[in-house]
Amino acid sequence: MAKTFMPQVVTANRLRVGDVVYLGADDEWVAELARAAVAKDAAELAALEATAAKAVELQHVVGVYAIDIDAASGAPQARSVKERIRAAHGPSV
Amino acid sequence: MYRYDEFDRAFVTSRVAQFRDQVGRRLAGDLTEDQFKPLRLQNGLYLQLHAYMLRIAIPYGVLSTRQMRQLAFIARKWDRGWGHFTTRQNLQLNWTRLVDAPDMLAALAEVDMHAIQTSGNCIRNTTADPYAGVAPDEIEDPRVWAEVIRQWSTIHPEFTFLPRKFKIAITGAAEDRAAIAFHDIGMRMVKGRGENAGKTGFAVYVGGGQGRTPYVALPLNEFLPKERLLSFLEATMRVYNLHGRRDNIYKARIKILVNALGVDEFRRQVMAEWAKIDAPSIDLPQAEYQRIAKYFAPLALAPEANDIADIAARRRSEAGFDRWVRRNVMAHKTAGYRIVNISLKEPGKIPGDATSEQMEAVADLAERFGHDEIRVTYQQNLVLPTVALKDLAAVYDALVANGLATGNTELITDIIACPGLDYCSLANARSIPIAQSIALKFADAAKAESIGSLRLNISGCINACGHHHAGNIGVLGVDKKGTEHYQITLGGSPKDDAAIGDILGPSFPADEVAGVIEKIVDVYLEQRVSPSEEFLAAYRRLGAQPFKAAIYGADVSTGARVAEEV
Repeated sequence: MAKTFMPQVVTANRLRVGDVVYLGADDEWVAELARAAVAKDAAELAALEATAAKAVELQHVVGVYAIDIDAASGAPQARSVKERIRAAHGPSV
Repeated sequence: MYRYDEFDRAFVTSRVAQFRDQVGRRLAGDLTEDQFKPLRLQNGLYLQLHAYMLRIAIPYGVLSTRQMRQLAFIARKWDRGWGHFTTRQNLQLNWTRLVDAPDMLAALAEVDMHAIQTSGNCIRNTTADPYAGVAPDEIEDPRVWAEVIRQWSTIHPEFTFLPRKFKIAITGAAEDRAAIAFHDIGMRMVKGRGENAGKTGFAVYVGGGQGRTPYVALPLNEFLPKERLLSFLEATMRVYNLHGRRDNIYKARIKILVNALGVDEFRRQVMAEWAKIDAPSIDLPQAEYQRIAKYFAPLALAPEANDIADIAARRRSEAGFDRWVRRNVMAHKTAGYRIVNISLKEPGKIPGDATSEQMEAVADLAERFGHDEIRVTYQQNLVLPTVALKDLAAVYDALVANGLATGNTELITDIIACPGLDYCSLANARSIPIAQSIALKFADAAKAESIGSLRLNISGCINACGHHHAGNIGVLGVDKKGTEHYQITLGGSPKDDAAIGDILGPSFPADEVAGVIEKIVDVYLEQRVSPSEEFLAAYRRLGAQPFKAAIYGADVSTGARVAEEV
């Protein structure tokens, strides 16, 4: 039985500064996870990753990867503690 | 303290220029991240959870006032106005921008500092007794040899790409304040016996370390004549470099090799290598030793009275001052002087953090009262190594004004903690909020002091940067099905009685940890023979069972180490 696809967004750090960003609509990198483009299936994720790869080649971002999110209640929220802290752009203390 | 010569300065300056060029090439797209990453790491620049992080080397934990002020300046100008002192006596800035990193390194170079070899599989910054040169129990000042090792190991071509990182610690004192048993190589200066009577040398230990496979270091050489140090280190490194595993990062440290071969066989191989090594070309010439030693010449201090009526009177009338003196002020080798520990562990604050203003305040104190010298401890605190007793009250008042006068050295609130998941991309769980919740639980200073000396260490993952294995009480963050949990160990020690803590049992969620620690402490308080029986001694006498019973209930099985998902 095929595994259910978990909604994902693509994240990275800006190369010049290092701050956390997410790939949003219109191929823009945004600071807010809530504005990230959500991949609802493997094809959508592949498209986002291809866009991110181009941004890496252009020296815009570094350290690209996809994270699981929960989009059930509207704006995407990170599922893991690590990504929730990262999305807050600062420590929890 | 040591000052760079022309060669040192030219080298560090050229490295800054080289890195500036590398950053420029990276931003221009001439270097890929795969090509650039090892270059930035060789200059101490990591990419962490929120941003780049610059790890600055503080050689053997020694800083001048000028250097401390420059660190404060760098933190304020290019970071967020504070820094984090680490368990390797270094400083981390957590909000570095790549585009600023070359300027930050240039500013470091202005004060004879850099971030080289704070990452990578090389010999890292050598750590040392923070009381070096001033401790009453010292045989010889280890800073001279730490500096010798620094110069020998800096971009040593043979040891730049080791199987894994390599950490050396050194002490010259009777009491181990450098945790030498938990280092790849730990060294203690000792007086020779028998045929070595009258000589000073090193007792050398090898294969200690923490991480996922903790070991206490084993004796490698009972007495190494100090003038033979470098050739012996080189022989040891060669055996490790040749036989250390490169196929598995988790088995690549020297501790794995030493324990796989057995220390006797490892020693045999080192001795065989040492016998054929070209020692005269490696060992330090006496003239060079003397040149370096001059930088560490003892201060010309005239002994003064060891009792001052004003100090005694203030201690009687002011509990906070009295506690601070009792806990943070240590004996100095010269009468009338004291070693002053500056706590970066005010309950509720982040362990090891200092603002630029606090760094400058400490620098001011070192300049006015401390002969221009500051030390960083692996417990993430600061030290003024030489303060006249008559100046003690003035130093205390200035520390109070800057939020640095907590009198809790070696108490339960003097918590050693890594940055954890709040900053570190390797962590499984947060360390800082756990440290804060425990410290606040024991924030009543009288209560903390009534518990007595107790090391409490927290690591956010099994890499153990918070040295949890060596804590009398250790707390390890683990990921349990996506939630932060914390495993408790008891009985560790980083000192002369070095030991690895025993895992008590299943882990606890974050909101229960402080309460669990309180229960453990309550068992100790109820069952200690007297207040002079410290926590560690009581644990060793009682064993784990009463502590397990207190936190798990009576049905928990005894003795077994419980493996968890670490």
